[in-house]
Amino acid sequence: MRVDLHPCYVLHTRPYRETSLLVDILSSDYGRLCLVAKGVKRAKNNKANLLQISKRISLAWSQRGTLGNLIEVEDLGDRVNLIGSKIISCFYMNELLMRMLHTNEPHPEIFDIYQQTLTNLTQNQDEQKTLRIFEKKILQVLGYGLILDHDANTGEQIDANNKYYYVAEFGPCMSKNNGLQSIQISGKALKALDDENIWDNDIAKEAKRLLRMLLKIHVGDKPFGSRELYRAYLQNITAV
Amino acid sequence: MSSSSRLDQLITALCCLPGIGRKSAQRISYHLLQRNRHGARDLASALQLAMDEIGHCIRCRNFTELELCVICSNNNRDKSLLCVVESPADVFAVEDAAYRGVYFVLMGHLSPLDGVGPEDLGLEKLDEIMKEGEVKEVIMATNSTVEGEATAHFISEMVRKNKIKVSRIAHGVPVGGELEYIDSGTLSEALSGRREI
Ligand SMILES: [Zn+2]
Repeated sequence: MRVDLHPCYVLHTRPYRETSLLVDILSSDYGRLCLVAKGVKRAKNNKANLLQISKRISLAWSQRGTLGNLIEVEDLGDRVNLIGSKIISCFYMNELLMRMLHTNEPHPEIFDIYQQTLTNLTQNQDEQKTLRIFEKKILQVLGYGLILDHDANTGEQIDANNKYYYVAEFGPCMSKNNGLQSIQISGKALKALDDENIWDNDIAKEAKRLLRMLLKIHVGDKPFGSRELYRAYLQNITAV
Repeated sequence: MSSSSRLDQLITALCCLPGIGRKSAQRISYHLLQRNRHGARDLASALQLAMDEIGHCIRCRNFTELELCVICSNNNRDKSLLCVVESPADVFAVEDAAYRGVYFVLMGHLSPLDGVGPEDLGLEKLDEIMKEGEVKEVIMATNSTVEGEATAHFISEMVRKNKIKVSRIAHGVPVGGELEYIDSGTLSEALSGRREI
């Protein structure tokens, strides 16, 4: 099967043999998959320059089985320029998708979410907030959407002044559910994550704890390299 | 089996060379056996010595059989200028550009998805060198990839904290390059990094 040029993002590249790369990509039409880019590391081949994370590019490949063979790369003139910690955020988005998405499953919505998130990062929106909304949306598309507007037991609207327990795979409610994982979270944080509007440090902390718990169910306990790098980066810029 | 097992061993061993498959390994083996046993023995002993003795310079991390490499121990090099590169091959390239300062070789770049973090790049040693006070400027010469940029940024924050000047090598139009053949990414880098003439 030949897949014609269409928009993609590179999630990760690994060296393969002496002059080739294995390229994990997010395709607008085919979801996540892995391509072999033969000979792109030879000196006169400039395809490798275009196979960079965070750049919207156009790819064509031929596919037999699960691996594709890269045929063509086209620059879409995308000048998204992530700097500093924003690059680490992009590493994180990629690492999350590599762990959350199966290969060869089309997810056009995820491509749009990914693109929007990169744009938000470059437009200097709150980085933590941007990442939490990204996580929330990915869970939603994959069928694990969060309940953020009503009590999962009573159906009553979330009250910003109340404290809730968010029970994994169930939702927010007033009491713990024994046997199921849960964390305490304020109604204010639930509403903020729902509205994607107001945001402060407390909300950021609570939202992070909630999403960590929920993501862990799907990605497991293995630490994220990008989260560790982010921590090291923060230490690096603050320590005297 | 038609060929001797020693020959098989040699062919298999040669396949570890980059770009050498079984066919070429066979050709090389026959060539050495028939025409150049002397050269092959030299190669074998050079390989042996290199693999046994070459380690990393305790200061710049470049390959050397000495404790301190010839660049780090050379008193004619400008110790106030420190160039940070990703690999020993990059040292070679920068040396060709008539650079007279010293180096720090990361032996890679930050790559969180492969588990390569700051501690794998010897950044503590780099910090130690900067704290000695002799370095006046650090030149970031990591690759112009997203990972290379992330690495440059991470290190430049460290450099700034040490109150040392930090610069990034310019990216742009190659000498002798014609504009119409240059990709738009390179050209936009070249435009944003323009200087007054
Ligand atoms: Zn040295």
